Parts: sequence; C-alpha cells; structure tokens
Amino acid sequence: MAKPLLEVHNLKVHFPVKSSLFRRSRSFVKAVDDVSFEIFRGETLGLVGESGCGKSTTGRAILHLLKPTSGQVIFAGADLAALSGEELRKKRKDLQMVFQDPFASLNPRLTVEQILSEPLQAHHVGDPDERRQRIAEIMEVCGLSSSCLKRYAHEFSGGQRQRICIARALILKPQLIVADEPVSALDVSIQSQILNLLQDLQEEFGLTYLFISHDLGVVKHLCSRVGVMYLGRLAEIGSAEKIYARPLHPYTETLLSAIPVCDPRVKKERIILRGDVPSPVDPPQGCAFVTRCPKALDICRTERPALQKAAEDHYAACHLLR
Amino acid sequence: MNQQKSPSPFRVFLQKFLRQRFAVISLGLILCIIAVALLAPWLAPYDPYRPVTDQYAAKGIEAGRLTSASVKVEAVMSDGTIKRAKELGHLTLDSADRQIASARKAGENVIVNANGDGSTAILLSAGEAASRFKVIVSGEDNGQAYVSQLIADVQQHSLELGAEQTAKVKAVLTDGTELAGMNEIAAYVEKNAAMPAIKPAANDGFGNTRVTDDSHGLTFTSLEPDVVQVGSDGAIKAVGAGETAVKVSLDGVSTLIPLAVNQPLSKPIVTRLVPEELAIDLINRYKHQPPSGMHLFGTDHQNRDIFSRVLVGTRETLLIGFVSVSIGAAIGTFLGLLAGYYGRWLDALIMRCTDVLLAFPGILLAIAVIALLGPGIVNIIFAVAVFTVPIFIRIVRGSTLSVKQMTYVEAAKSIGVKDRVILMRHIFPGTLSIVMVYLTMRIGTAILIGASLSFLGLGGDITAPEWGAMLSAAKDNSRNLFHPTFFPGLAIVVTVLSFNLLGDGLRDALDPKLKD
Amino acid sequence: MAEIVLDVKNLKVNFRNEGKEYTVVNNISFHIRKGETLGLVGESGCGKSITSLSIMGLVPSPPGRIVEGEIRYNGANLLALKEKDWNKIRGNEISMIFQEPMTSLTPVFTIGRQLDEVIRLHTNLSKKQAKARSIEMLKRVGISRAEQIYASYPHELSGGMRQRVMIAIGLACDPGLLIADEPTTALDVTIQAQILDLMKSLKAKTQTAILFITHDLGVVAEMCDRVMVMYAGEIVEEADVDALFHNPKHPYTRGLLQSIPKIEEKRRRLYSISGQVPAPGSIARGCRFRDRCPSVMERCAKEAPELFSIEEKHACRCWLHAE
Repeated sequence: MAKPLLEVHNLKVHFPVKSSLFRRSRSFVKAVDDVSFEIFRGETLGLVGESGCGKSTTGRAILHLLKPTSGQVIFAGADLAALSGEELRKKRKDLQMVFQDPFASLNPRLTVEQILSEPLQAHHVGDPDERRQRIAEIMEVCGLSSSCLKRYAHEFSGGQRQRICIARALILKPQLIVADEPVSALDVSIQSQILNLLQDLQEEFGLTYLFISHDLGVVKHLCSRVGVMYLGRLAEIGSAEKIYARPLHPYTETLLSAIPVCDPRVKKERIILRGDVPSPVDPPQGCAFVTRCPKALDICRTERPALQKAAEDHYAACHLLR
Repeated sequence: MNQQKSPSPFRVFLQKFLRQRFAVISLGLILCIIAVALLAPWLAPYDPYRPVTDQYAAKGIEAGRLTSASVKVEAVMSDGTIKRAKELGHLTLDSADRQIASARKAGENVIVNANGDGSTAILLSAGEAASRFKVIVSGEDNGQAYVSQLIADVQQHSLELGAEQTAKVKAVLTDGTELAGMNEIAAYVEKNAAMPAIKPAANDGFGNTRVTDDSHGLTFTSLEPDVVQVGSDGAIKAVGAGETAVKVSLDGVSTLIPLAVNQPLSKPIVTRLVPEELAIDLINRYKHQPPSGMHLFGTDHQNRDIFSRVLVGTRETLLIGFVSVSIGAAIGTFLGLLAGYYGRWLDALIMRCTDVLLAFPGILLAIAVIALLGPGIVNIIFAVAVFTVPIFIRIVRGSTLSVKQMTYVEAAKSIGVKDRVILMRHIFPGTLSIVMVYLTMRIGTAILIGASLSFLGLGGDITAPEWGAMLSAAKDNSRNLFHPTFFPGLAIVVTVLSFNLLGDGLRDALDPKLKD
Repeated sequence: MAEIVLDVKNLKVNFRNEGKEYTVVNNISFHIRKGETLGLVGESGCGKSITSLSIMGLVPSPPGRIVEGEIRYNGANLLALKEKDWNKIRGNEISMIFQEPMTSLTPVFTIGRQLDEVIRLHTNLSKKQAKARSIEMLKRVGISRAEQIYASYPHELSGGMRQRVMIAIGLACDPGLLIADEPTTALDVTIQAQILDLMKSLKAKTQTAILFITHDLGVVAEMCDRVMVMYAGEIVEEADVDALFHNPKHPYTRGLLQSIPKIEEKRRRLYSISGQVPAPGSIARGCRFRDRCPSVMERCAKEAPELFSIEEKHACRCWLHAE
C-alpha cells in the first residue's frame, strides 16, 4: 500500500486556562485529545462533529497554524514539527486551507488580482507574465470571469467569494487542501455549486481533501472516508458508506438520526440525547460521551475506549464493540 | 451583474467623508491655516518683531499727529496785551494723571502726549494764574466738564483808599459752557460737590504740587491783605496803599485781578492763561492700540501689530503640531505593530514602557523633557513627540490585535506569506484608519501643549510671535484689555477645533456601519 | 376550520440604500389559522426576515418603510397601531424568537428577571406569582433544574438552553401567534433535534399559531403544516407540506429540493441552480427567477407571473402553471 500523504499520530492540542497570575495553569481546555488518522493521496477524508468537538482545531493543528501540544503531523514524509520556521513556511505551498467565512477570509482592501497573486509572490513562483497566466487559468477553472480581477472582495456574493478562496488555495497547486466548513455559510442553492466545483477540481487535479463540516449530508456526498469527532476525540472513523449504513458508535447513531429528513411522510424515530455537551475543560474520565450516552456501561465511566477495528476500514472507540 | 468599475475603498471613504459637513468645513479651514502659515511673511502687514511706531514712516502713515498734540498757550496780561507761552519763563504744566497724558513745553507751544486711555486735565500755571484744559485719550471721555478758566473783572483797577467794589466772575468749562455770575458758579460747585473733580496729583516728582486751599467753591484771596481785603462774596475793599492783586480761584484754576490803591498800576502781570483748546482728543498710539482699520487685531503692550504676529505665529504652531505628532505617530505605529503582532515578551516589554510613559500627565512629561533638554522650539517638538508615542503604541497595538484575529490574516499565514509582508500588506492598512483619526486629533492636543509650554516660558524666545507666548505676554502686561488675549486665543481655539472636527469626520467616514 | 389569526394582504416593504429605494418585500399575502404552523422558506435576501419584522412592527424605520398593505391580527389592523399600543401586542399577543440565542438575551440580567419582566409587563401578577409562573414556563420547555436556571445569567448557559429560555419567554403570555425566525439555525444538529421536539410538543398543547421561518427544508418537513417559498421578495409557491415536498411545482422549489445532498441516495453530482439571487431592483420586468430557471420561456422576460392557484391550497407563481 502506498504511503499516506498525511499521517496524524496522537495529536493533542491543549489550551491552558489561566487560573491566577502566578500559579501555573491547572486546568486545560482539551480541544484535541489524542487523535490519530491517515489520509491517502487522492482521497477525501471528512471530519464531522458538532460545535466544540475540535474538528476545526484539528485542521489548524495539521497546518501548524496552531502549535500542537504533543503528537506528530507527518506530511509527505516530513515531520512538520521538526521543521524550522522558514522551512515550514515553504512547506505551506503544498498544504493549503479554505476557510469557513468567505466574508472574513478575504482582505476587503485588496482586489481579486492582488489576492490571487499573493500566494505566487510569497513563494516566488514565476515572473509577472507567468503569474498573470496562472491567475487567469485558475479563475476560469473556478468559474470566475476575468472581469472580476480588478474588483474588490466586498462586491461579490458569498458563493463567488468562496470561489475566490478556493482559487487562492489552488493557485499554488497544493497536494493537500484542508477545507474548514467551506459551504456552511452559504445558501443551499449555492452550496451545491461549490460542492460540485470541489468535486470537479479533485477529479481534474488529483487533489486530496480533508473536509471538515458539521453537515453529515454534505460530507457523505463528497467524502470517501469519514471521521466522527466528539469532545476532542475520534468516536468513529472509516469508509463513509459503512459508517452511514451501519454506525457503530452511539454518538454517530444519534447524529445520523437527528438530521431532519426532507420528507414529511417519514416519521423518524429520533434518539434525543439528554442534557448538553460537557465542557472541554476537564472532560469526563473514561469515555467522553458517557454523560449522554443512552447505552452507557459501567466501564465507560472509568476507562477511555481506544479506537478498535470493527471491520475493514471501520473503526470505533466504544466499549460496546466487544 | 454590476458592469461599472467598482469604487475602491478609498473612493467609498471619500464619498462618506464629503457628506460630513462640519468635517469638510474644518478641512477647508485647516487648508487655509496651512496656506496662511506658508504665506505668512508676505501676508503680514507689519513686521511682527518690531513695534509699529517705527514702521509708520515707511508706510506713510502720519500717526504721530494723533498721539500728541501741541496746544498754543497765551497769557492775558493786566494791561490787555497777550503774551505767548514762550515768553513766560515760569510756565509750569501739571497733568492730573500722567499715565493718561503728560505735557511739556516745546518751543512755541505745549506738547501733550497720550500715554494711556482715559480722561485727564492739564493744569497750566504761571505765577498765581492757572488754567486748565481737558485731554481725552482714545475717546474715553469721562463726561465731566472741568473748570477751564476764570475770568474776573472789576470796574476800576485803581482805587481810592476805602473804596469798595465787587468783582464779577465768569467761569468757562472745558465743554465750552460759560457760568456767568456767582450764582451759577455756586450751582455748578454744588452739583459737583459730591465727587472731587480732579484727583490730586500724587507722585509728581517734578512739578510743584499746588495744594489748593479749598478744592470746592470759589475763593477770593488777597495777595497782600494790608493793601486790599476781599471777602468770600467778592467784595473788595481798599485798606492800604500799594499794588497787589486779588486771586480768584476755583478748583485749582485761578485768575488775578490787579489792583492798586492810591496809585496807578505799574507793571502788567499775568492775569489769565488761555489755552488754545478747552479739550483735546488724542489717541494712544504707543501701545495697546485697539483693533481698528490700521491694525485689525490691535497692538500689544510693545506696540507690535497683533494681526501680523498671529499670522507669523501660525507657522511655528503648525510646525509643532504636525512634526511632533508625525514623529510620535511613526515611532508609535512601528512599535505598536511589533507589540501587537509578535506578542509575548516583546509585547510585555513595549507595553510596560508605554505604561510608565502614560502614567505621567502629558504636560508634565513635556515639561520634564524640556527641563532635561532646555527650552526652544526643537525641544518642544521633541517633548510633544515623546508623549505622543505611547498613545499611538497603545491604539496601534489594540488595532493590530483585532486585525490579527481576522480570518484573512490567518489565511495569509496559511499561504506562507512572510510575517513582514503580512504586517505591511494586511495589518498596517487595517490600523491606518484609526491612526489617521488619532493623528488629526492629536495635532490639536499637540498645538495646545506646545502653546502651554511657551505660555509657561519654556519655548525659548519669549518675544517670538508664537500664540502661547503671546498669551503669556498678554497675561502679564495687558491684563485689562481684551484684544491682546482674545486674538491669539481665538487662533488657538479655531485651529484646535478644526483639527478635532476633521478627526471626527474622518472617524465617522471610516466607520463601516455609517451609511447615508 | 379554525379561525384566522394572522391575515397579511398585499404587504410591500421598501428599503433605502444610498439614495435609492428598493422593494424587498413585494406584495405578499398569506394567512395563518389558529393552531397552524406556517413555514416560510427562502434563502438569504429573499425578504422573509423583513416580513416577520413587519408583523411585529420592528422594521427599522429610516432605511425601511412599509409602503402598502394590511396586516390584521384577529381582525385588528396592526399597521395602524401607534407605538404605545404595540407594547400591548408584542410579547403578549405576538411573540418572536430569534436566531441568535447568544445575543437575544440581555447579559446583565438573570434569566428569571427577563422572564418576569415579560410576564409582569402584560399581566397583573405580583412578583411572587410571576416568579412561580416563570419557573413553570422553564419546566415546560424541558429545563429540569428550573430554579437554578432562574437565578443564572445567560453566559452561564449553553446555546440550546438559551434557545429554550427564549421559547419560554416567547410563550410566557400565551400569545396567539409565535414568530420563530430561524430558531435552530445556530444550533448543533443534536440540540436542534431537541428543540424541534420541544416545539412540536408545545404546539400540540397550546394551539398557538406559529410562523416558522427557516432556510432548512428538512426542518420545514418536520415542523410545518403549510409552507410558503419566498424568492427575491415574492411568494413563489404555497402549499401543504406534503404537496410541496412530493409535488413541487415552481422551478425554484424543485431546484432547492434537488440540490440538498441526501444521505439515503447514492453519490452522484449534485444538482445546482445556476446563477445567483438577483440584487434588489435589478429586475424591472418579468419573472424574477428567469435568469436561473431551467424551464424559462419567452413570456417570462416580458410579464411577471401572478400567484396562480393550481389546486386547492396549492399556488405557484409561474407561467408554466398559468390557467
């Protein structure tokens, strides 16, 4: 089997909660708490979960926009933490990100042309003529007309801005793109346009995606593999088909049942969870989901379940698997 | 789809700015002030450093004529002849208030000089005769009519022993009215009995202080009681042989009636002095001239044209304002960007230094710097810059911190843009708007602090036409007058207010929420 | 049939932007009956929020103004009300719950205080009685530790809890009409499930009419009895919920339904509606959807279609379905 493009081993990102001026922090917000997975070249891994589960933090930690507290991120064979500042900066050419808010991720004072040439300038790609050509190419691919070049970001709609963001991420021809909720802020009719675009681009350029979202329907459409996160931990990970057809982890089950169906005739039997999400500061000992799990066992309170293989390309972290 | 070329953020800002009327007016005012500062040497009508008295000749203005006047004085002798003042060797002049006007003999005439504004009177005396004329300086007439001259006469100047007669007395007042007869005179005296007509001349130093016997009321005195006796009603009785005179006096003015008993009058004596004018108007042109056609803002205590000084002072004032704030803003922005962007120990270091500087009230810090470096305009600029720097560090740091959180900065980092480039391209323009607003507002404060420093005398050359220094000089020397204080003060107010309004307008125009 | 609680006729709202006036709600009419939940679906910029604000009399007045139309609540014309009369209606007869639970509650007052305020404003209850009623309301919305929550501040609660509190405040005075403006959009999907469940049970108990505004068609399918689809300020389709999902007529509705990625279906390329929502005022004549419509005809550019009645209770604004 080919080596994975991205390997994440035991990634932890803990933020200290300052308790007082002089005492060292006792408690931490465990945003990402021991997460491991792999992404192979050409595939799309979806990372789903609700707010506060740590999926966005994971995405940023992989890109080293946030410094991981511990753990390894190995991209194309290179351990990112071992790189110097300048080497890391150069590596970013191959690791790009598309952000959630298309309104905030574009500098309102720059024209589209300036926004798109910034990555090329940062990495000294080509001379001005070549750059102009590459910009024109990428705009066409992303469905933007050339008249957009001299205009400012605030004049475009959400969908168009997201196209600009995607163009900006693509212009360096990266190997991996981390997309952090790229369609969540868009209207439904625009969402489908952007999702189609992402799919087309993947086919055309052989891209690899880490697709972060809270929308299970969108993730199923785009991703071949899915990871479900809860409170900083991976609850379940594996092939999308298998997980959606037969979720093993109770949380995944709940998540799937909670999605409203676009059919008034279907009376869904819904699993309603009790209570709220516990705080990521000092999560429960044992399984993170134990406070709300309808099938909790005694062992779930004391021992944290490890990610176990249930079937080919289907892993879950739950004591019920045994 | 919108086909027209999109407005750049700058154009949008410009449109919003132009809608703020006050700000646009202020901008216009500021541009005028800057133009004045640049063109001041050519616009100022007078040299601001020298008194205008020297400059009148060059300008062809005959001002001296109005500041002093020459008054012809004649003496009426007992034999009817008229003598000129020159021929009266012992003519003395007394001013009741030298601070208002003073007089001196000069050749043919008496020269009266105006020294200050108000009304006073000059008393001329030669021998026992005395007359008076009123001097009004700068139109400040106190409305009183003093006694100018007394005219007394008898039927016969040569008497037999034992003869009696009554003197007829007339009085002429400075406003031209004549009081004929004792009754009218008595009425006048009563009317003015409440207030002493002339305050007694104190600290005279030179002239003889003639202490009048009776400041109020007509008095008759015989110069030699052995020869002639006179009563308070003017009755004269010849009691002995000889030649003498009766002095009739009222309020310091006196006239003589020559009398001889059992012999004719021998030598003529001065009976009365007649000044050419009963009252003269002068304008004080040696200092503190009020605003007029010649001097728009008047003159100060050294007779320098205030208008010219205000114009020329614009230059220094604006220099202090612009240069000091620019230096402060440049340094402050640079340090603020570094502190906000890199954080941690660099941030802590810069902020602690800033806290120390900000703990001092601005003007105290400026005074401390001046104390260290010495007075002078360059040092004022430096002092104001020093206390502007921490303010800019704070606001730029704050702005940097918030811009740093923006997703597009994170996006730039994720692309691999160098820190330096991120700061210049993404963060600094985000702080630029707030820097511009603060810059214009601090110019106002800088001007005020600069004016305060030179008001306190720390600006070096205190005679320099800098507005603060002008205010200080006015405080010391022209306390009761409004124009030496008002106009420099007005200049400061208008300038600072314009800058503040401009800053307000800029801030509103940069506010993204403000629509129309 | 139950009586009509809210009757909107020919509502037209304009907004002023940089000197020009644009029509953002163009001549819409609808009604809601007692106990009925009417869904108002549309994407951003279609005018659904402005519609709800108009019903509450909360349209911000310098940029916006209600040009014409009638809004009748139980027969009374709301547009004729003066500001002080509105205070008797808002919170009491017509309540609204908003999208952002984070910012809809005042951060400096306790939950209890905010609940009590609404109750005491509209009823004559004493302080003690109001407190009792508040706690009862909190229990009704499924908050078990009601006394504890009564004394807490908004920042101490999670998003789901806050939205429950908002619902409690909205229903505290037994309003005749509840307007829910995207109440679950900002919530996680599991919390959304809880809130929708709660709303369904409350609906069954109280017979309050609900105007449910959202862009999420799945939520509409669960919650609503009837649905209106809005596009660019107009109602383009109106039907019973079953008819809308199983027999959509308007090309926009069909496009929306097709673009949603569904979990049950196998993966293929998503259907998407080409183009984007037109800017207000950019389409002067003809149908507003024509630039994006897959079934566009010549007539669509010349004349704007009216809302044609297709079957009983199913209307569509499209030339394809004209009589």
